[in-house]
Amino acid sequence: MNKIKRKEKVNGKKKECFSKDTETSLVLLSDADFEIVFELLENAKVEVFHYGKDVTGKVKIHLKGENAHLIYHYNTVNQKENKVEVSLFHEYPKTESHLYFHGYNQENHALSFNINVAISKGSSGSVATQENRIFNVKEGRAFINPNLYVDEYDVEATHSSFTGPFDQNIQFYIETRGLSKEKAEQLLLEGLLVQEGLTKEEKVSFFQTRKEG
Amino acid sequence: MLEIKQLNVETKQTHKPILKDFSLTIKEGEIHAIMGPNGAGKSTLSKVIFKNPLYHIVSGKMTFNGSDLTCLETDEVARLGLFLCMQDPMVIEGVSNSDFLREALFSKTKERVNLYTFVKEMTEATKQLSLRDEMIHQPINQGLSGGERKKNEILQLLLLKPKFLILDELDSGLDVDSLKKVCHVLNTYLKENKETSVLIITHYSRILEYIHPDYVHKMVDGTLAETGSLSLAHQIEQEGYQINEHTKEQFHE
Repeated sequence: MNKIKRKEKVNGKKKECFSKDTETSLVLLSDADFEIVFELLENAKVEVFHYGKDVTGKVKIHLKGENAHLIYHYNTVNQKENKVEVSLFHEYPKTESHLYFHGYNQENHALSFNINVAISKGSSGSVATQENRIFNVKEGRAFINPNLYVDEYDVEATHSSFTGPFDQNIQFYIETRGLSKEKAEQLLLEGLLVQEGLTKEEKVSFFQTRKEG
Repeated sequence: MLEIKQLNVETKQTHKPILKDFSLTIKEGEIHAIMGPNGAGKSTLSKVIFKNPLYHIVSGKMTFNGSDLTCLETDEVARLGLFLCMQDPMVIEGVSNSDFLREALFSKTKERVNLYTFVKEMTEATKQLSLRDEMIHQPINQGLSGGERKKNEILQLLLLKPKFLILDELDSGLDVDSLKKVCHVLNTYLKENKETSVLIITHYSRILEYIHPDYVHKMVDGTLAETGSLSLAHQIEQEGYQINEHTKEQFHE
C-alpha cells in the first residue's frame, strides 16, 4: 500500500472520501473557520495533522468500512471565543479512531472542544480513544465535553481531558536548568503543538504570521 | 560558596513550618551529605535553595558566592551555577532532550552552541552513562525507566557544567551497577572540576561508599541535629534516626 502525503489549506467547507485500501497522511492548515467531512472506506488508513489558528470548526467523520483507521491530531492557538466540534461515527466492525485535540488559550479568551464519538450497533471489535487538553495561560476559559455513545459489546473506548495551566512542577523542573518562566512556557507550548505534521520552523511561522482577512 | 544561616521556611499554602533555624555552610570543593528520615525536610531544602514557589522563606539568609539567593528566581539561581539532580525527574511531552539542553546552554552562556559540537558532546555523555543515542532527540524522560531518568539528570549536568551539585536521592531507582557507573562519572567530573561542591541528600549510606563526603549531617525535623564524618552515616545505618536530645543540645551549643 503506497502512502499518500498531502499538505493543504482548509478554510470553509471540505469533503473527502478515502477509498478502500489507501493510506494517507494529511497536513491541514486553517486560519479561517472550517467545516470538514471525511469518509473512510474499508481498510483506509488516515493520519491527520490539523493546525488551527484562532478558528471555529466542525469535523464530521464516518468510518464506513471494516478496519477503517483514523488518527487525528488537532493543534490550535486561541485568541478569541472559539469552538471546535467533532462528530465521529464508527459504522463498521473493527474500525479504529484516535483523537488528540490540543489547544493553547491566550489571555482571557474561551476555547471549547466538543468531541462526540458514536460506536453504532454492528461495530464490534472497534477501538475509540480521545485525549483532549487545553492550557490556559492567564484568565482564559476552557471547556472540554467528551461524549462517547456506545451501542455495541466488545469495543474499547477511552477518553482523557485536561484543562488548566501548565504543570507547576514541570515548569519548576525546566527553570532549574536556567530557563526563564517565559522560555519554559514557550517550550511547553511548542511541545503541546508539535506533532510530526509540520517542522518546528513551519509551525512557528504558521502561528506567528498575521491571520488572513 | 553556599551559606545558609538560621533559615526558617514554611509551605506557602498551609504555613506549615518545614525548615527551622536551619544553618549550613559548604565551601568550595567540599562534599556534604545530609541523611534523615522521611519528612525531615531534606528534599524541601533542595527546592528552597532553588526557590520553588511552593515555599515561603520566613526568615534567615541564603547566599551563593555572595549572591543573595532569597531575592532570586529559580532560573537565576540555576544560572549562578547550581544544579539540582531531582529525586523524581518528570516526563515532559513534546520537548526533546536536545532542544531543552540547547536552550538551557543558551540561557547560561548567551551564545548559540554549534549544533555539531553539541550533538558530539551529548553523544559522548550518553556513551559514558550507557544511555541510548536515540534518546537525545526524544521527549525528556519519555519511555525511560527510573534509573535511566536519573542517568539523564547526570547527562544534563555534564553538559551544563555546574559549580554546585545537589544530588537528591540519586541512588533511588538505580541498580548497583548503574549507581557505580553514575558515581564514577560524577567522580571524574569532580576530579576535572576541583572547585565544584556537592550536597548529597540520601536515606542510605550506599552512595557515600562511592562519593566520599567530607561531612555527614543528620537532619531531623527541619534542622541539622548532628554533624560528623562518614562514620556518622554508618552509625545512622546501624541505629536509625532516633534523635538523642543531649546530642541535639550539644550540636546547637
